[in-house]
Amino acid sequence: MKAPAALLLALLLCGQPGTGRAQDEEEEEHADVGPEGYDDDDDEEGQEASVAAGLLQCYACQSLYRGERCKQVQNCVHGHSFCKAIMSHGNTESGPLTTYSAWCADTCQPITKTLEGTLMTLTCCQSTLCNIPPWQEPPGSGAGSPQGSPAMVAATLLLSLLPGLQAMGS
Amino acid sequence: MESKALFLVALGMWLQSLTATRGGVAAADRITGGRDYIDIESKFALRTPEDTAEDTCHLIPGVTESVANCHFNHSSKTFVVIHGWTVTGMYESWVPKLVAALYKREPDSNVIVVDWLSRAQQHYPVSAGYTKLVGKDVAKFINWMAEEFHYPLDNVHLLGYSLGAHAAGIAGSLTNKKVNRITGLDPAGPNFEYAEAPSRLSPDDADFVDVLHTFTRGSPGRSIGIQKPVGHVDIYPNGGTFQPGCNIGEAIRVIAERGLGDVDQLVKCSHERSIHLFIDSLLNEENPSKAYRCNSKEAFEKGLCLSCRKNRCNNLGYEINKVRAKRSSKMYLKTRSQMPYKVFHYQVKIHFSGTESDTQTNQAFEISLYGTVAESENIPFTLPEVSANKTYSFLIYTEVDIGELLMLKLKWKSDSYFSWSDWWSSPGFAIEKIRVKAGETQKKVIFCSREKVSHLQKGKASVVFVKCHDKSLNKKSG
Repeated sequence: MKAPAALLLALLLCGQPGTGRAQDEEEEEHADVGPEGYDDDDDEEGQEASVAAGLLQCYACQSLYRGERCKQVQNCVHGHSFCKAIMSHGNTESGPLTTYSAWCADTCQPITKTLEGTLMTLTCCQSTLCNIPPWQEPPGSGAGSPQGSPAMVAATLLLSLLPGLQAMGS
Repeated sequence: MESKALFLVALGMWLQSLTATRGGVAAADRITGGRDYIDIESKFALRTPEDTAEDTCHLIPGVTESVANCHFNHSSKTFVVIHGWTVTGMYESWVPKLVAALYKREPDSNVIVVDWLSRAQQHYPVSAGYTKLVGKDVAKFINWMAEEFHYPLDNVHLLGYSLGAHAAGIAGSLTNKKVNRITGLDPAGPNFEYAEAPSRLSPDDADFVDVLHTFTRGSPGRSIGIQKPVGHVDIYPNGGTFQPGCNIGEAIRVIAERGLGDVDQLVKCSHERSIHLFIDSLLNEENPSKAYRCNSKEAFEKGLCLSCRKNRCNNLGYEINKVRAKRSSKMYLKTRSQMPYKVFHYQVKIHFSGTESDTQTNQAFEISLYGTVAESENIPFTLPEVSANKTYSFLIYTEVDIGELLMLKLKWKSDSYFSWSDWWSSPGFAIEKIRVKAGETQKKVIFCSREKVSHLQKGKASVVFVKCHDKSLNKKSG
């Protein structure tokens, strides 16, 4: 367990695009291109998502239920300086339902509004992984402080991604 | 179309007989200045912000004092308004409206109205032929202003409506230096659709030529407005064929309200809309309508052209960005039926999943958008066909600025209030996400089903989707 983590950390520090990032990108790509492939103009973005120092990291999950963990972390591209999150709470046919979505964003204006009986809360924050679902334990809570060294954060991030990476590798 | 043209001609003759007093006066009281200017028949009235409706003071080519007498402002820009074919032999009611709007936006400017009414009230083909002479007159006038007063042509903006647009084009091609801009307001189609560039409005006639096409219904050559692009930027509001609020039902309502006095307005409703769109752009400067470059009207209707990358979108009217593409580009937008004309455009993309094997045709849906500022509910749209495991893209638009999108509701309408087939087994699809691209804000938003997957059933309750991702498209990242 220790060896692969160290290896990945080394990869990260060398500035090599690691597989950890590829996972994020794949999600982004998928989100953009519809099955029929229109939107030719749809961004060459993601290319410039270099793991340069100082860029923000946010949780990136879509429509989690209450209690569900967000396991995906995104390195925000340059210019995306907000971690954004929306929580919706309202009644559905199957009873009251809370959902949570989080992502990196370039603009963000917090707002709380009830629409057709659904309470929507949009929140904005600007620190590493600050858009964590309220029911989720912060990574390494108890041990390192949130302002831990970048290497520490990277390591915890990679560790949290490990299961996914292994699945991809096979 | 034919019958409409006949109606116009008949109406013209009738009204002409009522107002046949004008014509002759013009030639008689001409003051002849320099030799070169003696054959100029068109008149150039400098209107004032105080009196936008009357030609009280004329700038007379060759007569230097006339310019000072009319208080021409040499240090500000000049708009030259050129009217089109007129059945009545009088200025149409839009002229003072456009003059007033120009002065409202540019209070220090000079707004000159070109009077070529006597030539403009002939049979259409005759008047169409006169655009060459009118263009020549205007060019002579402009050249004189440049030579006599060193007035910079870079300050000159010609605005021509219908036949006036081609007169403006000819004028622009004959000036010693290019004028700054020509705006063609639904340039006339008959006799010009197949004409060569020198005898009609074309991109070479000014530094920048922008054109609004609002009444291009019918086969090319027959349509009142020219169909092909003739400027650097050619905008086709609502597809360019016909404008909202200009149908027969609307016409009857207007006659009932205002009487028959405005009957000519109805015939020209779509044609004249070009002018009112431009007036709107002068008056509502904070909220310019956006037009989007697109290869076809059909692609625009599918919502595929709401991009602003690489100058693919532009402002309609006065605040247009002067983009000179190598080949002229057609741009599209939707509008309201009255001022302010602006609407907000959205592309909606939905993937229908399921095991349904039938393809349904002409299905009616309703979508509601909820945002930070307001909401727009029950916007109808029809999909020509719906079948499982396909993605559909379409355009919707709304008059209200709903702000940042937060939530979306979708409903699949039943064919009638009580449909046996729907009751027996109503078809349905599973939808995970809906993608929306907003043209005006250049944002892409993903809406997720709250239950991971929602089931949309025909004739049943609407389904709610909540925003779960968004991003800006125009920001250059990195």
